[in-house]
This record gives sequence, C-alpha cells and structure tokens, in this order.
Amino acid sequence: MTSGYRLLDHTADFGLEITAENPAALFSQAARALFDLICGPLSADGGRRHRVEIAGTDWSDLLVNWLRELLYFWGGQQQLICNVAIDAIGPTRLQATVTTVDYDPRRHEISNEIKAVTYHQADVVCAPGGWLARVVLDV
Amino acid sequence: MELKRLDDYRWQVGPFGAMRVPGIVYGGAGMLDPSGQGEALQQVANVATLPGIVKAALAMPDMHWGYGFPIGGVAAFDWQNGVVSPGGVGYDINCGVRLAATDLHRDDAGHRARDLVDGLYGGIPCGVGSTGALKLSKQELKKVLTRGSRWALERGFGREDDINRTEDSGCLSGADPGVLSERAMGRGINQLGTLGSGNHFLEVGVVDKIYHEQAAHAFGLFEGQITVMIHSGSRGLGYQVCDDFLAFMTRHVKSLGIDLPDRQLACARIQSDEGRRYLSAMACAANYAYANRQLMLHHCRDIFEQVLHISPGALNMRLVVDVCHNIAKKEKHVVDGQPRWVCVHRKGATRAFGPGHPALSDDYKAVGQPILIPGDMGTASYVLAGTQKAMEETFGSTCHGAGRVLSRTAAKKKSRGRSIGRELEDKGILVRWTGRFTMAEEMPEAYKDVSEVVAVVHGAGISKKVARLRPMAVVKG
Repeated sequence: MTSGYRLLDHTADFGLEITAENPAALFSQAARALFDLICGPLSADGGRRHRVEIAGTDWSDLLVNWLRELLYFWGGQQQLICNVAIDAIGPTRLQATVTTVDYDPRRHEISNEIKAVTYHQADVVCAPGGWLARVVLDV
Repeated sequence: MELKRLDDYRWQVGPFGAMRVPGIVYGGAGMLDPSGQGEALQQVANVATLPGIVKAALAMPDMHWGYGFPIGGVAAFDWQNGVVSPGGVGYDINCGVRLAATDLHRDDAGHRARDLVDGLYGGIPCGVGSTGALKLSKQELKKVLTRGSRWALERGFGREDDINRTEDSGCLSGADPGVLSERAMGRGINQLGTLGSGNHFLEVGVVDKIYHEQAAHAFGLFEGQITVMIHSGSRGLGYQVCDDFLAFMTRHVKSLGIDLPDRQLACARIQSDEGRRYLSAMACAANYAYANRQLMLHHCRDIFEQVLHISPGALNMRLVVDVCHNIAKKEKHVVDGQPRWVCVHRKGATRAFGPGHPALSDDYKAVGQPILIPGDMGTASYVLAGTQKAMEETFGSTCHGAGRVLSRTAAKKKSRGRSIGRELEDKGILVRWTGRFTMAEEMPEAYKDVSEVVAVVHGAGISKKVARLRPMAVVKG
C-alpha cells in the first residue's frame, strides 16, 4: 500500500484518510497530513526536539491522542511541527521525537485553523497490503 | 434512512435499533429536505441512543453533518438519570452571537462604512491564534471564568444594561476554575477580546425589514438602523476544555457499560463527580466566551465613536441580546405532561424561550426572547423571537444560522478564479479578512439560504420573524 493521505469530503470539517505500510509510517503520515493542512511542509533547521509519549486504549484512541498532542504544540504553544520520528509503537503506546519551530507570522502562513481532533469515525485498521486510518478534524 | 413525514415542517426518524426515543428533524424543500442528509440523520439516531434522553433527539433546519451530535442538534436528558456529553456541546463552548443596536440611521453612517470596517479590522484582533491586548494574570483569569460578563463590566468594559440582555446575565453558575487543566488555563491567558477565525465574524449591518412591529419595538429595532453583530466563542480555552474532557470520558464511559455508536458521544452521568466536573469546566469556558464578546462590544463602541467623531450618547450602542448556540444547560421543561428538570444540549442551536418565561429580562417578557440567526456574509441575518410552541416542541430551541451546504474543499473549488471580496464589494458589502482561505470557505454559496431556514422555523412556529438585517461591512478572521 502506498504511503500517503487524502482529504475526505465532510460538510463542516476535514476528514482524513491515511495509508501506510506499517503503524509507524501510518502515524508519521497522519502527523504530516495534520501539519500540511495547518501550514504546509517546513524545514527542520534550527528546530527544537521533544520526546513525546502517548497512550491509548487501542489503535484508534492512540491515533487521536497522538494528533491531539501534536495539535497542542500549535494551539497551545504556537509551535509548528516540522518533523516527527516514531521511535517505538504498539497498539496502546507510542514514543516519538517531534521537531518544532516557533511560529513566526513573517515566515509562516497558516492555511487552516484546526481546532481539534475528533473521535467521530476515528478508525485504524490493518487492511490487505498495509494500514489505513480515518480521522475527522474540527475546523 | 427511512423518514416519516409528520407535517409540513417535521420528519421523524425511527425509533429503531438502540434508539430510546425517535428523532424529529425540522426541514423543508430543496436544500432543507432532510432525506438527502444521511450522515446527519445517522447522528440524530445515534444521539437518541444515549441514556436518559427524553421525548426526542431533535435537529433544526440548519442541520448538517458534525461529529457526534449533528450541527443543529438539540437533546434533553433527565437531570437525575441522564448524561452530559462534551461532544453534545462542541469544542467552541458558548460559541454565540450578540447584536447591538445604535441610534444611527443608514443615511448618517452608511457612507462611512469603509472607515468603520478598517477601524474594526485594525482595532479588534482576529485570525488564527489571534491574541489580545489584554494579558491576564492567572488570578484575573479565574475571575473571568467565574464572573463572565460581570468581570468585564467591573473593569470598565461595558454598560450595566449589557448584563441583563445577555443570556444567563453573562454568567453561568457553578464555574470552578480548579477543574481546568493547566493547558486550558494557559490558552485563556492572552486570547480574551479576540474574534478568532473560521466562521467567526464582526458585522456592521442595517435593519432593512421589520416583520413584527411590537417585538421590534421591544428589541429597540427600526428600519434603516445601523447595527453591529459579533459571532465568537471561548477560543482556545474552550477547545481545550472539550478536548480534555472528551479524552477522559471516552475511557470513563466504558466503566459505565454504555455502548456508544460513536466515541465522540462520550458522556458521564449528570449526577456523578465526572459529570459535575465537566459542567463546572463548561461553565468556566462559557463565562470566558461571554466576557470575550463583552470586551469586543466595548471596543466596537470606542471604534465607532472615534471613527465617526460622535459621543457615546449620540451613538447609543446598546446590546439587544447575546445568545449562545453551543451549550448544555439545566432547564425545566414539560415532558409527558409533567414539569421536569433536564440538561438541554444545544449544539448549533439557539435558546428560543417564549413570552412570559421567568429567565427573560423584563423588557422582553411580553414578546419572547430575541434570537439571532446570522446568515452568510453576502445575504442577510435575522432577528427572531421565541415562542410558546418552542417550549412545547423543542425544549425552547430553534436554529442557529444558515448551516453549511458545501464542504470546505468544494467551496475552494467553486471559488477558484473568482474574487469573492470583489463580488461582495460590488453588492455594497465591504469585507476585511486575514485567513488565506477564509473568503473561499466562507463564500455565500457555501451556506444554505438563511431566509429558507428562517421560513421553516417561522412556519413551524418555534420562533417568529421580527427583523431582517443586511450586511454593510464584515470583518472575518
């Protein structure tokens, strides 16, 4: 299965469908999709690294909690994500290294304000040939 | 999904499967025909499965697909045996609208619309992550969270009569900042007095039609009058409260043995520590939103006076009403012929209490509460009045806006190659905005026709038309 994501049609918000070969790539793609929507790809030069540990009750809960934590870097700390590396992952736990830069309105253009990551239709499945996830973002 | 038509304006969904009560959807023809809105109807059916729900899961004619609850959804849960659901309130807790009237006539100030919109755009922070001129200490923030609009008034940001024209007098009781996370508190420190982004707006309008003279008189509205409308909410603090409690309740609800059709409907018993903690946190966010809109109204007064070089007395910018449309409240309603305390969730729906209700200010008791229904930025907005029929049918609730009909992606596609700002200016509506895609996503075609939505609630009798406002100048985030 090709690694990537696409936007799903949703009247008020953004739906995301993410595909990847394995869970680590899937969660990494989901992070990329979230920050592509917010500000597009960024260089990690001069970025700050953060160790992040996330828990969930299952894969879907873990995905929502992962994206919630990443979104808080932006919504709560005005930092934009430029890179993520999944260090370890299982159905209920994830460790990652996240690189961020401070938001600078002169350099960064915000495309979409994502307010929250919802549980509505959130799903992670091991499909034939790879992994697939869906999540709806509140805009 | 199979729908049963009940009358000209109402359709019934179920009950089937795990639904405890039927769903009742208000609608009409064309875009307002609910039969074409499968996802939203499924959400109505899902809400009807929640414990303690009474009478029916309702949806207003501006219903559209949300997450958990549909947008435009109303549901009431028994106060003793029912649940409260953060997803049934939404992320932007106490997102709401306020309308201020002035003594200015279109002929006095219409020609200064460009100066006004530039003044408002420059004077009121808007856009993604916008922060205000106020940076609160933690202690001061706690006062905002417990006192709401009253806090703003005590700091000189308002008039005494602003308070009694705000829903709940601008302060929900039971707010305890101690239940908020550090993250929620941190996000509230520097966003007070800011508009935000997305569909939030500040609009200078003109009353262009009066439908109900007595109610318009009671609300202080007349034809040709300049008005100001503000649509905003509890900003990052509210999102964080919802996010924190949803994450907690998705785990908590499993311990209650409640089987949810959608995790976003995660909930807690109202009569539990968990339920009480959420309601307390929600009240904090609601009070922040009231204070937020109060501050912006105060700044609007200053900006109008400066731009037009007039005195506060000549401007006389007075609050008509402030209503919230994302909230859960303890209210008494008649259910199965008996008065009963319930927790009414309104997610994208507005309170519409009828004449004589004790919660209304004396000015409005004879005609019912004023209700604000903003449309898209190129069409119109409406002022309605609450009715007794709303008390009987919808837990005193009505619609909250036009309701989206195009997804954001579809709206961007439709706007390609067009200048929405120029199109609106050609219609005499000046717009200032900050977001890269704001104009495309918020273009008039992205919304249902607000006049049709209002015609449904008026025809169904759950509110009545009082006045129509036309936009002159709009500030968007």
